[in-house]
Amino acid sequence: MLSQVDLSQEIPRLAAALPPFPRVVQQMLELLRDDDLSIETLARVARNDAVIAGQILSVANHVRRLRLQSDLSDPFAAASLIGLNRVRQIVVGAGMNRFVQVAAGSTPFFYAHSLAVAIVAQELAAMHDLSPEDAYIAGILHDIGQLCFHVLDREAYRVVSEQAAVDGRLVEHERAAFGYDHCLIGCLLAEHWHLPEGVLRAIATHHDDDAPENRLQAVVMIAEVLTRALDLPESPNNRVVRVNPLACELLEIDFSSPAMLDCLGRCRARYRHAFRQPG
Amino acid sequence: MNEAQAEQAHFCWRAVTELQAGMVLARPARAAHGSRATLLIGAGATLTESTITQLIARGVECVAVLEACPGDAEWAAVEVAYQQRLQQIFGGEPSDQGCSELLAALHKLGPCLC
Repeated sequence: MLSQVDLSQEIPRLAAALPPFPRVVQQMLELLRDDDLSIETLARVARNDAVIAGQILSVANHVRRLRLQSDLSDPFAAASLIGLNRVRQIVVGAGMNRFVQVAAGSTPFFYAHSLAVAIVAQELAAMHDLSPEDAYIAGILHDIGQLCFHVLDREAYRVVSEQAAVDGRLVEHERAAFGYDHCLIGCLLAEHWHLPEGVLRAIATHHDDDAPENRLQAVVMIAEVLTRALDLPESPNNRVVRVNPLACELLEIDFSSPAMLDCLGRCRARYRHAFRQPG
Repeated sequence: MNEAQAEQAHFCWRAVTELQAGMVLARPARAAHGSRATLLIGAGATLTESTITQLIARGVECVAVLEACPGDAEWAAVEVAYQQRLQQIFGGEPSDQGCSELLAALHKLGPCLC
């Protein structure tokens, strides 16, 4: 069993066992700190990544076909057509989805659950005037620490997962078996990747019953519950037994309000659509 | 069709890249940059190539569009399966207040046939 000090020293090795964190996302997060971010700058970053450039072209060519125009093949022209906001969404979405999908490897449920939490967190963030990029990244990485347990001791973590499937006490079983839980290890990994402080805190506290310190933490806490409630992805293990009232209070959530019902509808549609998308 | 009629009709949420000209919005479509609204198209509006392009460019992910009503038998079967699944997920009548409120919202939301 590792102490937390030992764990901090292990983080570079654990990070190296995962796929490389997408450089294009790190570059974009740095660029977003600059108020003068231009579509040209972002397109230059995106064109170096074939999958992202392909998605930008795909969306732009959808627009071109609606107008009965021929397809584009230049990512710069495509980015100019669909605009800065859409290019930002594609860079974060495609970059992070591919990273987590490859990291999840033989555990497709892990990817599907992470994607669902990312989508719901982003929709909640949009309702609460929070950064959609931070919410998506915090959502898709919220359980990334679990993958490290597979690296450390796959068999021991299989036992932990089975115990948690029975009583729902995942973090307690992780601490008993490894000395720490996936929330802490995920937070340390996010720090290793130089992600924003708010993202670190949201990953670290997503299973807490305490009052969230900020709204991004509350968003990820509620997103986790909503994916279970909406059965995204479908799983016999989806259960909802508690909703953190302090997180709801901080976000002033009224589940039955028309705005929230529309938000839930969008979450279902986006999740379904994400699995129809290539790549 | 006016805005109020559109909001009462059967609809589905669709990703913007699934939209076609001629579809009718069932809910207002909004885009915002921070707290500033950058686009608002009312329910009942018929989509054109131009409005779809604007929705994509403003970062809107999906919108609600009117759909033909499903048949009664099909709808009843989906509704029963949906209620049963909610029972399993929430374990019957929840004691937690937040769970009760969320369950009530999901009953109101209903199943998705899209």
